[in-house]
Order: sequence, then C-alpha cells, then structure tokens
Amino acid sequence: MLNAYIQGWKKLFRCGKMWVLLYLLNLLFAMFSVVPFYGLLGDTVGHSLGINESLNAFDYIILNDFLNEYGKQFYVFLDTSIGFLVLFFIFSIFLMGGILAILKVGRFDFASFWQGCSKYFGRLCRLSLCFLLVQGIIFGLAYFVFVKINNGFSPINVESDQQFVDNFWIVAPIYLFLAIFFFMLQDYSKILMVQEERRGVLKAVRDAFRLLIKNFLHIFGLYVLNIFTFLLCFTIYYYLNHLFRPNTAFTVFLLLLLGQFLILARIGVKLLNLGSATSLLRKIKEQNTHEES
Amino acid sequence: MLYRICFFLLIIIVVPAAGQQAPLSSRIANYDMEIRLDTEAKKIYGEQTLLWRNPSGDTIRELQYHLYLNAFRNSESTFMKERGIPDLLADPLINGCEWAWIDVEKITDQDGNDLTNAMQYIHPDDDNEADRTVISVPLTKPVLPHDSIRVKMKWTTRIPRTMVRTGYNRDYYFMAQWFPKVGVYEPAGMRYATEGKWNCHQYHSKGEYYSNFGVYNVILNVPESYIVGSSGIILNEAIKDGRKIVQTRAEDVIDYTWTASPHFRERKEVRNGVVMRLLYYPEHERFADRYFASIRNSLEYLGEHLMEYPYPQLTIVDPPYHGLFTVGMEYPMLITVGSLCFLPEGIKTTETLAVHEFIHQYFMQMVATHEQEEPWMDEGITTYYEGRIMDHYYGEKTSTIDVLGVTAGNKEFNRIEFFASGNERMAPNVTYSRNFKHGGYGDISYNKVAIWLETLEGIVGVKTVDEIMKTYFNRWKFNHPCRMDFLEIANEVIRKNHGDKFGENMDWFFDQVLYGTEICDYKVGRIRNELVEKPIGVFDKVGDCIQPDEETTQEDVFASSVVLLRDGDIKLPQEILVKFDDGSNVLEVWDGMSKTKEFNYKGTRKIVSVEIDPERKIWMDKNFLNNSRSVKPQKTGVRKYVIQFMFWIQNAMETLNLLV
Repeated sequence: MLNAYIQGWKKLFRCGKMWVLLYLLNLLFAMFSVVPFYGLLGDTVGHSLGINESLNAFDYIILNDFLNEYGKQFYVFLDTSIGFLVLFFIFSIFLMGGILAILKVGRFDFASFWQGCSKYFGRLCRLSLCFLLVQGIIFGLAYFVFVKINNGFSPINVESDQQFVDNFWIVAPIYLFLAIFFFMLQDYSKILMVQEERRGVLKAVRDAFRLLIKNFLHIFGLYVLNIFTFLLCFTIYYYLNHLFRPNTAFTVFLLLLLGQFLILARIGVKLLNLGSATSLLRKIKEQNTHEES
Repeated sequence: MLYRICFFLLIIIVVPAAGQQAPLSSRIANYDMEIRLDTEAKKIYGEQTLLWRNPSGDTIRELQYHLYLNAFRNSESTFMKERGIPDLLADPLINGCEWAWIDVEKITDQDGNDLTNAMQYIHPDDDNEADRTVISVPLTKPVLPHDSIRVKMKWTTRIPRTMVRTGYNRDYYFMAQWFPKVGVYEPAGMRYATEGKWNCHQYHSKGEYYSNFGVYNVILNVPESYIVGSSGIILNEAIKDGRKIVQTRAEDVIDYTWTASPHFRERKEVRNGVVMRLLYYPEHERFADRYFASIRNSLEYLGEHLMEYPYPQLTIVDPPYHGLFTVGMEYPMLITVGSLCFLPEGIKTTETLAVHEFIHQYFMQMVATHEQEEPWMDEGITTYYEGRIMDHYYGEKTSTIDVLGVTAGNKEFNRIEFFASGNERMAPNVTYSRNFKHGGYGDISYNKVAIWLETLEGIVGVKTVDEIMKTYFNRWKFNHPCRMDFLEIANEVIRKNHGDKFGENMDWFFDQVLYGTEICDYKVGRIRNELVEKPIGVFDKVGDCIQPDEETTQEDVFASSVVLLRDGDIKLPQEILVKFDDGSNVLEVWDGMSKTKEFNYKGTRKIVSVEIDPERKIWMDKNFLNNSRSVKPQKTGVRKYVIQFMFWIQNAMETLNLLV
C-alpha cells in the first residue's frame, strides 16, 4: 500500500505536464463563467464605495443589496455556470481516458493523452453514468433511511430534535463508507477498462468488485491515505487563508494564489489517487500471476 | 387631642397602603377559574367566574366573549377558511376527526339567572355563519355605568393537536387562547370608538390579542406527574387523589396561558427580584444558559430604556420538537422560546426568539394595543427593540448569524428580510392583520416598522426616539393606545427637542412610512470633473494675446458636478459626503424632495467620490450599494469577489470530477 502510494507520487511528478494541463483546462472552463461575472460586477457596482468597504469582513448588507438589485442578472450567470459545470463533467469523462492512458505508460505526451481521451470516451461515459446512478441511489437510500428512522421531519410525528442529531451520526458514516466504497469500485473499474483494454462495463465492474473485496484493506487503506493527503492540503490552505485579510490589491492577489494552490492540489490528489491505484492494481495482478504460476 | 386624631388618621391611611401595592391596571376583566385537564380524552373541563367592571357611562345589555378554540371546530371557521387546513394535520383532522372545540354548557349571572339559552354566535368581521369564535350573551339584568357583574360559566374543551400556538401533542400541553374570554367594551373616545361598542373580533389566522387587564385566579387540576407553568405565579401545589392541584394567580395582565408536561425540567434564576423560571425538555438543557442570558439582557435594557419589569416572575417555556407550533409566542408573564439541537451556536435564533418574546411583555402586554387592528404597534415596535437589544449585546454584525465567517446583525437581517421579501408594497402598516390576504404580514408588520423606526432614529437622533418610546410607554402602560396616541407623542417630543427643524410636525414622515407603501432609494447618478478651458484671446493689453498652448502658471480649474437621483417615492432628507482629490470633504444637505439634485463645484480640486447618507442613517434606503460612487473603479473589491466566485466554480468542477 505504501509502496503504491509512493509510486503514485512518482507518477504524479513524472506526469507534471498533465497536471498543469488539467489545471489549465479547469481554469479555462471557469473563465467562461468568471469573465462575464467580472463584467457584471464592474458595470453594476464597480464604482460603488460599498464594494471596497466590504473588504474587511463579510458584509451581509452589501451582498444582499447586490442580490436584491442585480439578482436577476446574477442568477443568469449562475444558471449559465451550472450549464458549464455539466459540460465540464462530460469533458472530464473525456479527459479521464487520457489520464488513465498516460498513467498506464507512466510518461506524458500530448499525442498519447488526446488519443486516450478519444479512445476510451465511450466506455468511460457508460461507466460514469452507471456510477452516477449508483451514487444517486445510495444518497437517496441514505436520505430515505434517515427520514424513515426519524419518522419524517414533521413535529406532529417526531418526538425530539435530538433524534435528528443522533440518527445523523448513525446514517452519515454508513453513507460515507458506502459512497467511498463505490468511488473505489468506480476507480478500479475504469483503471481495469483502460489497463486491460476492456469494453464491457459490467464485466469490468464485476472484476473490480472481486478485486476490491479480495484486497479490501490495501485498497481502502490507500484510499484513506489519499484522502488524508487532500485533507493535509486543505488544512494548509485553511491555515494560510486565515493568516491575512484580503483587503488590499496585494492580499487579494495572495487570495488568488492560495485558491489556485488548492485547485492545483485537488487535481494533484486526483492524479495521485489514480496513479497509486494503478500501481497497486499492477502489484496485485503481479502477485496473483506469481501465485498462480 | 388634635395630634391624636391626626395620628389616628395617618395610621388608617398609610398602613394599609404600605402593606398593599396599588393595582397596576384598571382590572376590568377578572377571572376565577377551576380547570381540570383530562389527558385521556384530551379535554378540559372548566368553570369560571368573570367579574367584569363596566368601564363606561353606558348601560351594558350584553357581554361578548371570544371562544377561540372553535376556530378548530371545522373546515368552515373563518380561521380555517383564511388559512386552510394545515397540511401536517390534514390526516388527523380529515380522517381522524380530531377537530377541536369549546362548548359553553351553562351561563348564569350573579343573581342566578340562566343566560345559556339567550347566548348566540355572532360574526362581527364577516358573514361566516359557520364561525363560532364569538358569542353574544344578552344580560337579564343590564350592567349600569361603572357597575360590575359576575358571570359564571361552565364549559368543556376538546384540545386541538398543536397547530397554531395552542394544543397538545403526545403529553405536551400548551393552552393559549383557550378559555371563554370577554371582549373589550370601548366607550366613546377610546381608541377609534365614536360611541360605546364591543370590540370582539373573530379568531383569524393572523393576529390575536386585545383584552382588558384583570386578575386571574386559576386552579389547574392535572395528573400528578405533570409539571405546570403558567402566566402569573404559582401560589400553591398539592396532590389530591392522584391529581396535582396547582393554584396560580396573575395580576394586571390581559390574558392567561398555561402549559403542562410530565417531561418538563425546571431551572430558576433571579434578577433584581424577578424570578425567571425556565421549563424545558431534557434534550434542550444546553440552551438554558443562553435563554437566561437573553432574558437578563432584555430585563436590563428595557429596565433602563422603558421601565423595570413590574411583575414578580417570568415563565420561559422551551417546547419540545413535537410542540414546535407553540414556539415563539408571547403571553402575559409567560413566553415560549425555541431552539433546535442541530443548529450551530452561531445561528442565534435561541437568543432572538427569547429577546423578541420578552419585549412583548412591554408592547402588547403592558402597552396593550390591538394586535388584530394595529399589528405594527405590537410586532413592529417589538422587532425594533429586538434589533437594538440583540445588536447591543451580541454585536452589530454578529447578533443573528456568526458561522464560519458568515455574519449578520439583527438590524441588518431584518432589513434584508424586508427588502428581499418582494412584499414591500403589499400594504400599508395601518392594515388590519387579517387583511394581509396575499402575504406580507410579517414583512410589513414586523420588519418594515423596525426599519422606519431606525430611520426615524437617523433623522431625529436616538435620544429623541428613546424619549418618544419612554414617554409613549409610560403614558400608556396598562392601557390601550392606538396609533394616534403614538403619533401625538412622537410629534410632541420631536417638537420639544428640535423645534421647527422638521416642520410643524412629523406627519410628512409618518404619512409615508405608516400610511404609504412606497420605497426609498436614493442614488448617485453621475460625477463629472470637466477641465475649464483657460481663457484665450486679448485681455489687458492690445497685442498680448493668450493662446491655447501657451504655458501659464495658473493651475487647471475644474467644473465638477454630481447628480443625485431619487429612485423611490419616499422623500427623506439626506446628507451627502463629497470627497475631493486634495483630501478635502464637503458635507451637503439635500431635502430629498426633488427627483434629481445637482451639486456644482468650481476650483482646482476634482471630485473623487460621493456618498449619500454616509453614516447610514436612512435605514429605509433599499440599496446602499448605489448610494455611493467613486470616479475610479473599485478594482480591489471587484477583483476579490471575482476571485472568490472563480474559486467556487473551480471547486464545484473538481467536486463533480469525483463522479467521473
């Protein structure tokens, strides 16, 4: 597990260009929403002293006066942004093929990346939709169970609000575990599909499931390790973010850098997770072959 | 001998007076009641004697009573027609037939005359024959001017499931608006009455209070394990035949409410002789200190600004979740508060509710206005004081929300609630509560009033508003004022403190905010700094021609101007702060009457920025963002928000990526 984690880091740095590329694509998509928003703010309140006065702390009045007055325009941007998010989701499926293809060979080059993107798009699309459905069902199920054991939310039927808290702490960890389990299953399914050139989604999921059950502790341990890596990045971000107040041009620039650090870290952890999982899978396969022979 | 007689007379006069405090109120409606709670049948059996004093010079030939609980009798009551059957209770009501009612079985007067058969249901507010929330009881023997009558009544109530303010759920009982309560006889000259008449409205879905002051001696008979809380104080508790007999008394109050549950826990604190008795369910133990702190703060603040709380006790009831529909209500000497276990401490509804409901002890209970006819005088003034107390004790920017860097003060929150409601123009403040048929009751009766009182503070100063409120409170405590009484005092105090500064009176202000539905929005239209062309041509000596490109030692001169716009229809005086590039400022004053206003300046300095109402005195202004304008764009602020927006979008994208 630790070896796979280290291998993951190595792969991440070997594929640094891919990391940067993914970050730039994220930034590019964000810009589709951000640029018009910049225009909106500039045109509507760009000359208001209230904007700069609100820099020192969260300003409930300024925020709400803005939404009251220019909410209609703002919500158009928000809706558009949601549209872009959907587009980005589809684009991410496309990119995933390239990412996995590169992790397979362990070295980045644009040709292989884009080739992988187009080659695996169809099957990864089916897989993603399938797991989207599964995650939706798990969430719905958890919500249903939560509502059921609480006897709904109505004060007529529910005895105490404390039971919401108590039941939340029962349902939430189970939900979280299940969600993580299926995230892992999805990760290994797609790695299998690319590594072993499989076309069938169900077969890949079935094999990944067997693999997961057989090597659960290793796979889960690695996943937890990757989660902790992200949490570490987030803690650093959170700590640094609270060191200064973005109320000058310089500190606003720092805010930008810090935010982009976290985005870069998120993309990095995603690659680390896939890279380390690829390594672990290879190791397991090798072990299995060795045992069989 | 003369000394002895004087001493004797002194003893006769002074000693009883020293031992017994004079009543605080006129004590017109006084009740002695014996109440038995049947928890199996969900019924109350009551016997009451009303001692009613005729406050007028009229001869009274009928009494009118509220029978509020008949609002829950069927789907045709005025209450149900206005509100509709509550969704959550649709099943128990429609299929389980859990309708509630109050049935008067017998009425007799002090001479033993049976008035039962003469009793009839009336509906003074509408033509709804099915509504049984008001009865008229014709008297066999009329009540002569300033005379009294005793009327005995025997009645039974089927208790509703908690819906609006009252009822039971599981073994929690909260009984509000629950007994046959006599209406208010308004003699000519009282409030808006031009002739003596009963003021006894039906039960509507919005607004409830209006009653005379009186003394309530109530004996509550409940199962032994039940813990009781009530208006007034508990004089005695005894156990008899497996039942708990609780003897209570409330003096100089306009209503009586009680609650009972076997699960209540009790905590008490005393502040300046006032006992704060908290009844709560075990899971809400953690909120006890927050409730006490809120009430302590309110007692202190209102004691300082209006009058010390005159009653010996306040019962604070924190209903369980299954009694949620009784949360956040005010009754004489008893309030219901509310908290939810899962809310973070930074969401200060716990404190807000406690403070709000406590303020009602002053506005509604002591200054007993008519909530149905003039809800703003009750809820609006209370919301105004809620903002003042909350912001004073919990921070102007943090008194309502303080969670993970997101903050809001109470005044801020109320202002935003009003402007974001979309109901700003729904109706004027003088609207009866039941006439808010299409929404806006809370926004206008609560928040709008708080906002315009804060605006009044901005115009005439907080000291003057404090004096208005103190005068109003002290002149009308334990009485029933109407808005004209408030306006008269406001005009009187403002004139005393400011003379003619604001005109002959403040009607120009109240006409807009109280009787009008318009909004207030002032904004900076444009700023211009135009270079004044230097003079060219021949001036002093013929032949000395000054040409455009010629260097002169004169500094550039600018014609600067700022145009202000009044976008709303409310007209209020404004202060305008104009800042120049040499660091100087000019504070202008505009009466705010015209649709546009231009200020012009000529000199070597240029305008840098303009701000209307820089101290935010006009809290009614709908949009503070357009109150100011700078010549240069405020890039840092814009960039910060854009960067944050971008960060959220990028994070959302990466979160979606988890599903790939």
